[in-house]
Amino acid sequence: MPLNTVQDYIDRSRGILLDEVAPFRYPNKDLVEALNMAVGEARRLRPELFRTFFRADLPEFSLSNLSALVPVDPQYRASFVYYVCGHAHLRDDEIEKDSRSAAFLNKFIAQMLTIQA
Amino acid sequence: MSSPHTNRLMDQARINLPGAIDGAMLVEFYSVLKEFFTRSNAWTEEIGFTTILGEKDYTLTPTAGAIIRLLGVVEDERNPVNASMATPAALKLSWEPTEVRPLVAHVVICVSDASATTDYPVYPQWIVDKYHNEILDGLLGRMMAQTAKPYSAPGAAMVRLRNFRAGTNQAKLEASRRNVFAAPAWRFPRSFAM
Repeated sequence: MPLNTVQDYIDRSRGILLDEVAPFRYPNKDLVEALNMAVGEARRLRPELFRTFFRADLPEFSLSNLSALVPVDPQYRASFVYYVCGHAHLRDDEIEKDSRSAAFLNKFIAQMLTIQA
Repeated sequence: MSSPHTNRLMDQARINLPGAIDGAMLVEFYSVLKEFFTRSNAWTEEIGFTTILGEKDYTLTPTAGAIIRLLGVVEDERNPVNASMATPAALKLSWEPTEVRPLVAHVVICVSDASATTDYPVYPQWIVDKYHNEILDGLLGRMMAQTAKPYSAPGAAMVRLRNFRAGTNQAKLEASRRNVFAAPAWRFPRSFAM
C-alpha cells in the first residue's frame, strides 16, 4: 500500500496502533493533527525535506480533504507514520503506552538524523 | 541541465549519500558549479559586438549562464583594446569610438539561476564530463559537511573538498593553457591579466 495521501498515513498508522475497527480509539482528527505536527518537526530537523515550502506556509492537512497528497520524500514516509503513532500514544496514560510512544517518537527523530535507525 | 553525464554524477552522489534527497543535492550542486567555474575560468565565451560612435558602454549577453569576468577585448582577432567591466556584463571601453568597428570580448561565464529552465543550471556538458570526479568530490564534500544529517561526515567532507579544490586548480591551469598539453600558459594580449 503506497503512502501518498493523508488517508494512507491514517490507514497505515491504524494498522500499527491496532485500531482498524470502528468505533476508533484514536479519531481521525487526532491522527491528522499528529501528521501536521510531524510536518513541523520534520521541517525543524530536516529543512530540505520541505525546500519547496521555504517561501510559503508549510502544508496543513484537515479532515475535509483526506485525499490530499503529503509532500514527503519516499525515503521518509515511514518515519511520519512512526511519529503519528507515537503522538497518538502520548494521550494514553498506561505505562507501557508511554514507552511505546517514546520509542516511536525517538525512532522518528533518529530516522531523520541518522542512517542506522 | 539533465544529461547522461549529470545523471551519472547524481547517481553516484545518491549512492554515497544515504538519506539525502534530490532537492538538497541540486541546491549544493549549483554551489559546487558556481565555485568551480568562478575559480577555474574553465567556461569562456567570445562575444562579438560593434562599436557605436561616441559610445563607451556596452552590455554583453552570453549564450548561457552569467558573465563574471572579462579576459579581454580584441580587434581584428589579435589587437588588444583597453576596456574594463566593473559590473559583470557591462563593458566599458576606455576611449570613445570615433568609427564603427567590430570587436570581440572574451569573457568568463558561470552558472546562473537566470538561465536555468529546470532545477539544473545550464552549463557546458563537456566540462562536467571532463571534470566528473572533481565535481562529484565537491558535491559529496558539501553534502557531507552539513550538520545533523544521516550523511554528515565532517572528516570525509574535508578530504572530498580538498580533492575538489585541487581539481579546480588543475582545471584553472588547463583552462589557462586552452587544454593544450604542456603549453605555456595562455595569455590574452598583454595588459589583460586573467
